[in-house]
Amino acid sequence: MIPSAITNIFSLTVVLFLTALIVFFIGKSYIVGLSQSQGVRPHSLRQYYGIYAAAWTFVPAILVLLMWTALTQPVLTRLSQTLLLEVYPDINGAMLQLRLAQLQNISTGLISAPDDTMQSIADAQANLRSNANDLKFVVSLLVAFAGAIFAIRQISPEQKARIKWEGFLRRTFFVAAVVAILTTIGIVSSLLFESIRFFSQYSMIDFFFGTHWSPLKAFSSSGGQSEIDGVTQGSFGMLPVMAGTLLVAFIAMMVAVPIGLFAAIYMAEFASARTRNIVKPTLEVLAGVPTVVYGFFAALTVGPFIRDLGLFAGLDISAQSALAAGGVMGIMIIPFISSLSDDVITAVPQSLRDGALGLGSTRGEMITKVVLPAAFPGLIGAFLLAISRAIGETMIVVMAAGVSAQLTINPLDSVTTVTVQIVMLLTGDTEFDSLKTLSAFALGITLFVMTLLLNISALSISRRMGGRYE
Amino acid sequence: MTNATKLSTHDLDVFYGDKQAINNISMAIESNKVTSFIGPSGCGKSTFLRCFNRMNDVIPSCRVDGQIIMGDQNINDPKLDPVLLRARVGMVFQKPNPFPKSIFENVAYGPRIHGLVSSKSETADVVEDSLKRSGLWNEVHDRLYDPATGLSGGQQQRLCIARAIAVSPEVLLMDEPCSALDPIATTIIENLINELQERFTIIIVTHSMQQAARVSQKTAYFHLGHLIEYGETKDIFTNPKDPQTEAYISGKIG
Amino acid sequence: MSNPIKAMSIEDRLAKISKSLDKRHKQEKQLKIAGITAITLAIGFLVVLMTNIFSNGYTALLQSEVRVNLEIPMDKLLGEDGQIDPQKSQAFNWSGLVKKSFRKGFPAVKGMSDQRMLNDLVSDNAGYELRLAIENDPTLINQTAFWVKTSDDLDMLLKGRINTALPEKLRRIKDNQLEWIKQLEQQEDLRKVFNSTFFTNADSREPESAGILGAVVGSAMALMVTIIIALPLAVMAAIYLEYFAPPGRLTDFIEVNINNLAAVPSIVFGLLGLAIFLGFFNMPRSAPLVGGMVLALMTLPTIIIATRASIRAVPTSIRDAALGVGASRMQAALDHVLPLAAPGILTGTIIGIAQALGETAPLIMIGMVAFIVDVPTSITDPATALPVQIFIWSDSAERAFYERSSLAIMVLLIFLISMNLLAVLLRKRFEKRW
Repeated sequence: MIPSAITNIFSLTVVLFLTALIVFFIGKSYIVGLSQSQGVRPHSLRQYYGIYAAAWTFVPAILVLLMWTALTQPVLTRLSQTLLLEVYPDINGAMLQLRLAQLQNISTGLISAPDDTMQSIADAQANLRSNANDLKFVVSLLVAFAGAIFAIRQISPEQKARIKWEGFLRRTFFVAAVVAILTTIGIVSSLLFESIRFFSQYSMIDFFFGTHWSPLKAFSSSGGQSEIDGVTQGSFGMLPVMAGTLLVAFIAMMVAVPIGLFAAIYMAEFASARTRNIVKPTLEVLAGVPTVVYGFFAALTVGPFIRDLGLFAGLDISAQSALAAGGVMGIMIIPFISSLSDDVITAVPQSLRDGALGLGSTRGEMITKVVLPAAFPGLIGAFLLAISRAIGETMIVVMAAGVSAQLTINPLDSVTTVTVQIVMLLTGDTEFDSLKTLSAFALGITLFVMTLLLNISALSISRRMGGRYE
Repeated sequence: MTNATKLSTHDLDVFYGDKQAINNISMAIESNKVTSFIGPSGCGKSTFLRCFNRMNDVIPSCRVDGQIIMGDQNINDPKLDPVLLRARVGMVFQKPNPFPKSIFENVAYGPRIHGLVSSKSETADVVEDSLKRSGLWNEVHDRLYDPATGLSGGQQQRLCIARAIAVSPEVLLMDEPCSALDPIATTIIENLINELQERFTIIIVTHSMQQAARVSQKTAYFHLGHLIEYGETKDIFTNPKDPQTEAYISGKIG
Repeated sequence: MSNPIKAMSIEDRLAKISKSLDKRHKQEKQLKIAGITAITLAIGFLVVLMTNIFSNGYTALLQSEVRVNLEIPMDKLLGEDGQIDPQKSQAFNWSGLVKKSFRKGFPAVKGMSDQRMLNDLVSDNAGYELRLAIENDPTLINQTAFWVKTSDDLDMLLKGRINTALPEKLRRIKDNQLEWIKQLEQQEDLRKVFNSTFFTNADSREPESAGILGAVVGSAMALMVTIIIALPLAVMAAIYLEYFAPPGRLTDFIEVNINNLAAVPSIVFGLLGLAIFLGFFNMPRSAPLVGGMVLALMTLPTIIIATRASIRAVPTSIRDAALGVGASRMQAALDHVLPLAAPGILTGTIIGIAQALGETAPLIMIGMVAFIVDVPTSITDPATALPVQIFIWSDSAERAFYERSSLAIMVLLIFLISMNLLAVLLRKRFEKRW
């Protein structure tokens, strides 16, 4: 009924904002009028009365608007699902998804309906949507007006408008801070929810301790739900995948730790201030290069190069060796180690250095026998953070490592990692319910827990032994 | 009692960048005596002390001109290896700075890096003797492998002394060693200094005139980077020759 | 037991120390050399990486074109008003016109397979692009010769990327094609021009028609969404944590969460977006809106931390002075501290956005990895992002896409360098010495 140019969220936001602006001016002049007629000074400056009333106008309405907009599509989808199930009672998972996608495309005009039933369902959906949008428009405006009236009626010289406004701001800021918690809850709950669905169909023991990973076997003729009969269900033993992750991370650390640590020692103890000011930012450029660039380099230059070297030496190395992916990942991690170690080493008190030198140590002995041992907890923390980074890295391995899971420690082999599998299982045309896609979430929660534990250990180790000097 | 000279400086100047901290000081330190450097804050006594073991090398903007003679060598010669020098001239710092290692490891550090011990038993002997001579042995002999940072302030400082004397240096430099300690610990360390001076030449920087009077035989009074007066401790305190010295002793400046 | 060191004479002791002195100094020197080697290696890696990208990508700035003599049959295209009739233009076989005209230049070439190999030298989209050119500027209709894009194989050959020394079987350009190319060169019918297509087109199946405009717009839209969501939230959260949060378990829990989220792998955020934004809220797949929201959640902790640091850098005397003249805590925070902390917040935000620009994995998870040929016009249109475009192209077999990915990487790096330089410049300009 009401054109969508007005009911869409942008226009509505503008309308609400303008309404609130008007209320602001109304509020301001109202308090001036009131206080003049009553002959008393208002508690707060006039703009606070205005802005408080404007807030009551805008905020509840915009919250209603946002929630309504966010929930329209999910509700419509579920309603359409119900409708479809009524019309096609025997429809199975994959066909249902297909029909829903068709409805979507019909409504955007991409395709025309294959038959009258679908057309009528699409029409019903469009009707519902239009009604919902109209209602949204009306309700939002009503809420805005109600808020405005409620607030304006409260305006009086005794009202502590500024305090109320600041209280409102404070509560809003609090909510902003809580978003961090909400994000974590969102992550944990979505991963947990899907993982539980996975583990209801696949044994946890087999997942965590199985040595065979081939999810591609899990294609099914019944569409969507893999049959648990050992023939069509794929195997989801994640040990080879985890082994791949650890192998690549290990190779990366083998590259990053020596280079990063020695670079940090030199910068912290030997380099002049000028050298340090040039080298440190340059190394940090390595951290700023997007991982897709590293992946590109690893897949298209380093991998083939290693393979060719192998041919030269008579070895048969894949172009997707763990060595290529791990080596380039190591380059990316160098600045993590070098910057963090530099900070940790520099933080060692000068009094320890003086003590060592005063006893007749060379600078080298001072570093290796006193400074480094003193910095040790912080260095371990840096290493753990770097390992966590390596384990969670995605693009380099997606582009340069393989997709077949092998349980191996040979860096010349092609391996796959947890992150690669997550990407492979969830891109392309997959139904959301199949065992394959759910296994990706099981991998995801494993990854999340691992990196969480590493990060926590890193923090606690560097903190625990940190204050021993004073 | 011999009055042999252990160390002597000749026209020593020290600069931090363009600022001159020490002006043309020539003096001789006698062997096996305790010499104290006194003077108000900022007069350069610590800077001067640090010349004797070339610790000023660690500060990039610092420049030391002049000669410091020990035996037949000028130890201010840039060609001289400070590593070797510091095995002969040890230092104890103002704030105790034990390494975050065990008590044993702290004392064994010096002898080990200089290659002065070649077996575990030799090391243990050196550690035990050094701890005994710094009066700490009785308190720590049953927990030698505990972290040194678990000791009290006074114990830590005695540990630093044990660490310094473990390599058997000839000279011991002490930069306000008691200023971070309580009076009881201070007394213990002052008694220690009395014992140690039999074997070592000791130079102590102190901001406490009473301490100088208690522990040293010779005293040098510094003011704004100049050596104002230098002589027998009892003469300096009872009969100062220079009016500036007298002003400091009687508390008019400081 | 006796102290062996004490028992030595001074000379013996010094002699013993001097013995190991050389070795000790040498060890220090080795440590120094190890440090220099490490730094050189690290910088060397960076140089190799950049050189590799540059040497592969700079040729993508040029596009090879071939001159084809052809006559446009105006009678088939013009309507009654003398203007080009769009329906007739759509129905006309432009591609065939180009192919036939091109073959006319090589009368000796006979046989279907040879003729096909001849036409393989010209871009498959040449006809379509000719049509667009004519429709845009109908005066061109009188020209008798047109420069059209060569195929990507010929383009690669002309840029020296195909090794003609290899046996014919292993090459994409065969010997007979080489002959014809030589003829074209002698006739001066080949040239290279600036590859503007790269900057004005979106993705395409053919490398010579492919460009990054769609990806750049997609990235820009997503990042706009990210800033609009993340910046206000981060500033509000930071002010709350610095000035209003009561010490206690909830506050600690919030801070722990923020620090943890900063270290969560980016792919986990992608999973979050997939499960909740796409799965529960059924938001449009591949849309910059969803991409922006996911990136906002990722950069939020970074910007919060940077904002808090900027707020802390403002001396407490400023806040105390404001409170002292009767400002409320909120007024002191918003009117006095925040403006002074603003440059630092801005710098932190720019750096956070720069990081978000380079993120690929979470965007892949929410679907911005599809083949999109249109430039997106709204944040709910399906789109891709620049790093994802690089990812997609790097998967292609065509050598020409390899070249273009490298150039796209260079464009991405230029964006990143500019943003970081801007942040550094802003920081230097507004840095107040308290």
